[in-house]
Amino acid sequence: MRLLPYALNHAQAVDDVMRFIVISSIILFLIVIVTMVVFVFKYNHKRNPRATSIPGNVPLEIFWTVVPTVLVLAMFYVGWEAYLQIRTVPKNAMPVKVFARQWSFSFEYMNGKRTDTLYVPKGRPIDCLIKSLDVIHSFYLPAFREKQDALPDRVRHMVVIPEHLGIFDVVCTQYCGLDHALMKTKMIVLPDTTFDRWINSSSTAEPKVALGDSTIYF
Amino acid sequence: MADIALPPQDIPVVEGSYLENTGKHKGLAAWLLSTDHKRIGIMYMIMLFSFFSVGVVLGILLRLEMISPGGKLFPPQVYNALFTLHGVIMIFLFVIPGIPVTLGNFFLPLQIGARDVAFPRLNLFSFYLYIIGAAVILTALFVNGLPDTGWTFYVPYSLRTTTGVTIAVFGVFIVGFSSILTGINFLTTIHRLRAPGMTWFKMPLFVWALYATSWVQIIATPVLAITLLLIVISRVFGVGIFNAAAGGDPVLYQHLFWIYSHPAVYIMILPPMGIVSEIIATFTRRTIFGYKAIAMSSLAIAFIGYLVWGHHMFVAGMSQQADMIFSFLTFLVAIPSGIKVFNWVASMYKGSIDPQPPFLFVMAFMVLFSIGGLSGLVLGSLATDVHLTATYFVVAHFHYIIFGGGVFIFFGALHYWLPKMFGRMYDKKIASWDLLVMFIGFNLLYFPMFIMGYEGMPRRYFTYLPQFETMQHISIVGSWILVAGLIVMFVNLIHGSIKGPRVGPNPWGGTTLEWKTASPPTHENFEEEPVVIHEPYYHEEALTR
Repeated sequence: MRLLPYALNHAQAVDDVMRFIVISSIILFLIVIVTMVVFVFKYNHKRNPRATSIPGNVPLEIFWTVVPTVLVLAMFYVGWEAYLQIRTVPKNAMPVKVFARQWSFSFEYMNGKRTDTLYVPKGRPIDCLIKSLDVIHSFYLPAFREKQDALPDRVRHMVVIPEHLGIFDVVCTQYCGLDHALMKTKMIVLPDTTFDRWINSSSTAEPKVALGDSTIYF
Repeated sequence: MADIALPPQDIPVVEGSYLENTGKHKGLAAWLLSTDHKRIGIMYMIMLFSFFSVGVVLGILLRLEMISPGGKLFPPQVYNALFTLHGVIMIFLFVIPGIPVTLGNFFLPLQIGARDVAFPRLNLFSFYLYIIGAAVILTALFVNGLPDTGWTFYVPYSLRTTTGVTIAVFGVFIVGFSSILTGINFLTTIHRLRAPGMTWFKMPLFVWALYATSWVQIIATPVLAITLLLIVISRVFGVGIFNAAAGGDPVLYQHLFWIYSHPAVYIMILPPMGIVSEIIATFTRRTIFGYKAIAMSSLAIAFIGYLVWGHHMFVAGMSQQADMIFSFLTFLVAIPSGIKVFNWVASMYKGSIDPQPPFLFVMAFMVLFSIGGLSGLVLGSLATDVHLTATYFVVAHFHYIIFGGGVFIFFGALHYWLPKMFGRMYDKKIASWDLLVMFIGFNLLYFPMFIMGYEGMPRRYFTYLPQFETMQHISIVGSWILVAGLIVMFVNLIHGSIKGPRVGPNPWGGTTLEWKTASPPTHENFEEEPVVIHEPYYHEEALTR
């Protein structure tokens, strides 16, 4: 399951959970379907003209209740554990305000600087403070496997740890009207020195991104 | 079994069948004013499949928009209206009323050996409430432009848009009452009108499924009605119930909406599960494996199903504790569905399986429903849900469950019970091959959506990034194959019900009560009240162990 490139450890954790669930599911699926097909051939009325009525088998029924229960509880646990990563805000996290409105995103940094593209330094946890200025939107970073709805007059947190330089998609995934499908921007992960120089400069220009030394996704 | 061998021309025409007019009304009025549960069932069926056809056309257009990125076929406003209407029509006018009002109406009294439902007039009234609600929803199309909120009517967007949301929501409200009244009617029928000897554990499993479904309809639907009314009040009078600026809470709306709409999924899937048990028991010529487990798991699904609505809202910003509990309960609700699947497969063990078209539909169901259910585990898990919610993955998941699971069994049930309803048989060979076509089309249509969703393709987009083009095209071709299959199926079924060779009371060798009366049944259903001695799937000729 590596249809999307990894952008941070969290994405890897999500993919691991995905792999665990999908592989278990494929095994369960094959057991059920192969057994069914075998029975349909083996007990075809031409081969087996007289059926045997078996009303049940308690040990067997307990077995196939308990085993899947244990399995799904394991799925629940790994999903919960990986989920906590994006909900637990580390102490050193850098807050960035994320504003969503019909139909664009904008970002505000600690010192009040505003941009339409999200610039973040590599390796520093970002605490996204997400809020909507009108209807409900959703702030979705596919490469990070993360999203969070933006609600009007409420702030929601989402932790992003950019571990690779690059340009990543930011899209809205909560239907928000006419141009919902066009509500997108980019997240650009800069080397932290470049980021610091830009954020501390008095210039209002956006940072120049040298695409040559970064990985470009999408 | 005897009448299977009888050539069609030797089968006597049923005297006084429900298809003949015997009351004081003539022509169309004899149908429109009939309180006969069978006629009401047929009328519902005509309405439901009309709406289904409209929904399918809308679905095809939605897919067609994806023929190239950029939304060149329809402008965004039209595309947004198309998916809203597709959702509203399919969910509220087709799958929620679905099997209960059509086949449930027709077969519930027959399966328990009753003459009609408990309240026949209320039944007809429910039908007209449904018609009025549907008419109101369709009226919304012509007032202030097409609604464009998505079928979930999420606030605050649904409060801001100037389109005909108020009317559409009010229509859904009326349809909801039809659902509640049908639930009450069925519950009373099952409690009060079972034939002598039919104890609770001698009821067919379809009846158990309808029983569980009726409880969900009665308890959950009022929540939807209240929620929709709150939207109307907010829109018309400007009350800030869901408006954060006025001290309200937009997430409250989502809670209320899903408190109904998640149990509604079980309204959609429990009846088909009941039918799967019926079909398997008939075509394996043996009793069902784990009857009580299957019956009780219907109730368990109905009960736990109330407590999992929050899994639609893992990114809405609930507390971590709420997210955890809802995820946990969601995994628990998977267990009874799994138990059913295992019992169905075990019911084929040592059967004498005759893979007639209805049974083939069950086999297709087992594949599609398993894929749908297992993909639900991915969405129940918090970490993966955060990534996949609101993407094509979810679209694929619920189409596999509702369409591949529920609606395919609706079709299978039509193939199973059509000979009973009309006393005639469709072309079985066409039915079997056509199922294969639909199965292939279905998977081509929806499976690529799992992959696109995982790759980050959001739903409800009129455009997409170029890397999705191949998958989108496979999906579009799949939609055409599926529709071709659907057309052939409906032509075959309609032709069969009018012109097909006549069949006797029990063409499949079924054991439940509906097979012990004429095909088509008379107005009174049974010549004399049947008495039940055996469990529902007692095959005389089967060996016992």
